[in-house]
Amino acid sequence: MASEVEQRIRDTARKILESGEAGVVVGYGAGSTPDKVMPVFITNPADVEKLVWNDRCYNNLSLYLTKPLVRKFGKVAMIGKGCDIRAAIVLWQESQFPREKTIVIGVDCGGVAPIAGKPDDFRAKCATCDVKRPPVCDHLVENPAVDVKPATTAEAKDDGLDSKSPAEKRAYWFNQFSRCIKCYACRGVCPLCYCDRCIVEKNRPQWILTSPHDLGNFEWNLVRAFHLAGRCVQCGECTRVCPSDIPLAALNRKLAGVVRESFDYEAGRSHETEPSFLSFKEDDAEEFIR
Amino acid sequence: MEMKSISGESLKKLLDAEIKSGVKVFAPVREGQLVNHRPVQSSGEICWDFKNTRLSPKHAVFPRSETIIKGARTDGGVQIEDAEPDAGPAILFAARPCDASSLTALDALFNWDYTDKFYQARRDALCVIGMACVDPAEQCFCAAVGGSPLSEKGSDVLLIPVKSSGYAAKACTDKGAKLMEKHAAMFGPAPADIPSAEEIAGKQLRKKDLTNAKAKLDARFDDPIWEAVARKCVGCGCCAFICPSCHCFDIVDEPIPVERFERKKNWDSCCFGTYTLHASGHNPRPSQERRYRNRVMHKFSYFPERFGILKCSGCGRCGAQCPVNLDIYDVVAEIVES
Repeated sequence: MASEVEQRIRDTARKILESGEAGVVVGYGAGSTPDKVMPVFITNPADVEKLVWNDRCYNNLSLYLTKPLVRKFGKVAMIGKGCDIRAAIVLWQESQFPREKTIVIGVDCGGVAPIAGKPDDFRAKCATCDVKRPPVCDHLVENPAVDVKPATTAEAKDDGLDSKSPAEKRAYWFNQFSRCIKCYACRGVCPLCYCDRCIVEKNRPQWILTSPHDLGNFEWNLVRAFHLAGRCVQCGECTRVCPSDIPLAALNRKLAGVVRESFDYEAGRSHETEPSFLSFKEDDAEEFIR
Repeated sequence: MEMKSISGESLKKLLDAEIKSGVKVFAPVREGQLVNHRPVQSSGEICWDFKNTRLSPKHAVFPRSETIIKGARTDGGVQIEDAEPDAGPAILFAARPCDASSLTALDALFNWDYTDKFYQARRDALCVIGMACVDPAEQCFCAAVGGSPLSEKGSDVLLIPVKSSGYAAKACTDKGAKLMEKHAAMFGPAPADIPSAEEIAGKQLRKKDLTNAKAKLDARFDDPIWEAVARKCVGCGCCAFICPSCHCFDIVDEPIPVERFERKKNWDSCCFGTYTLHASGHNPRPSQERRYRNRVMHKFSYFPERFGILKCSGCGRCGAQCPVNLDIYDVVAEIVES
């Protein structure tokens, strides 16, 4: 029995496909076991019944805006939570997929559910969420059960990392990264890791060691964090999917905080704001930039 | 061989005695929410309450990274030496039957046209103590691929938890019999309440028969279904790296300060875009549906054709851990039933 929100999502998807507003609707469908939800791609209006909505719709579907097997359908309609849409905004700003070819079906989201057997770090975003109603939508699916006011917790819970000494931080992260098996699930699931050839795959010269040993793991996880500084919208997907439970989002949160303090900028808030790393001013106060 | 029994306390003593005699014991250990096999210093570190480990225990014989050649620049040349495998006597304790049976697939591969000495040295020195499943997980489908929660395949000793207390214990190979003889005093007569494989497999939710998928898969090699199933694949290597029978590796030469290098053998995955990328720039598997098709075909068509066994033991890790829940059971079942 579909919920009211599911029914609205299905009706919206059907209209979009029937009118030709988009060639595909990327949404959530029932997973392979009862606890799972998986991405689905609907091209036939008769299939909209496959779409589901619940608090296990974890995936950030903006990921698919850059995938050839999805782009082939032309205009792409994507169902998204607020945090997912923030990633789509960054993709538009970075010219990875045109705004005008994206149809955003935003859904009010009250936060995702914990996952049995996984650390809760990936849900840190929900405690401080101020995009329960997506910031940009072409079609808004309201959920009366969700209070869309921003979360009252202004600051993220202190993860205790800032107060550590450099040596303690190094020991903490080396220990975390020691479990990295270099499966690159963090990269695979990240909407903003869209490079055709990732720096770890550039081997003339080999910038980043590919072996999953201490040094190789340290290089990989830090270079990925740096490449997401000022870009990461903290959807937490990297942390959710890591088979070794490395709290990767903590690195991204730290760097996002540095960018916010230095440039008063948060990624994916608005399509109109100039991203801090895509802007250049001739009268910049810093010498090195001129 | 004869079924015996062992109590939980005696089992710990057996493992501690082996550790004390210098045997490396890989056992499930809990770290945060993770349970994985790793070498333990005492039976006290062992996690006894787990359905299956997050990663498969294949790293006991096929580590995620290992050095196979070492070299250094010398005056006027390069000196190269073989690395030797770090392979002392070892026990893999509490491998689930799916993971133990996967070792037979790895054995076939690493002894195919050439024996991989690194793999085989570890494998020869390894005694596998399997731990039967009495409480299968939602993701499990060993019975669908010809396995069983009580399968002895790949185990040298199989332990079966019994309701009364302790374990039924059976030596499955000479290696296992020797281990049990060595600790004979710890074993008693067979318990009366050994569960049946049918009883436990009956609890599994995923039972479609996937053992003869080859013909149907081969017939649909060029079918649009591959694009449909692989559209959501994000091209990571999570499935392959947590899989007990995926065995692909990449060879890389790494610089070591100063003026030295090491050649490494690292896990690799056919779902990576660079896996088949040629130096010329040509890629015979240029898109994700072809890469994912290879993953399925290799497990259910090419490997059975070459070695007579499936390269999937139904542990269900790939579907459960996949970032987008791309589940090989569902994919193969859909094709088998079509």
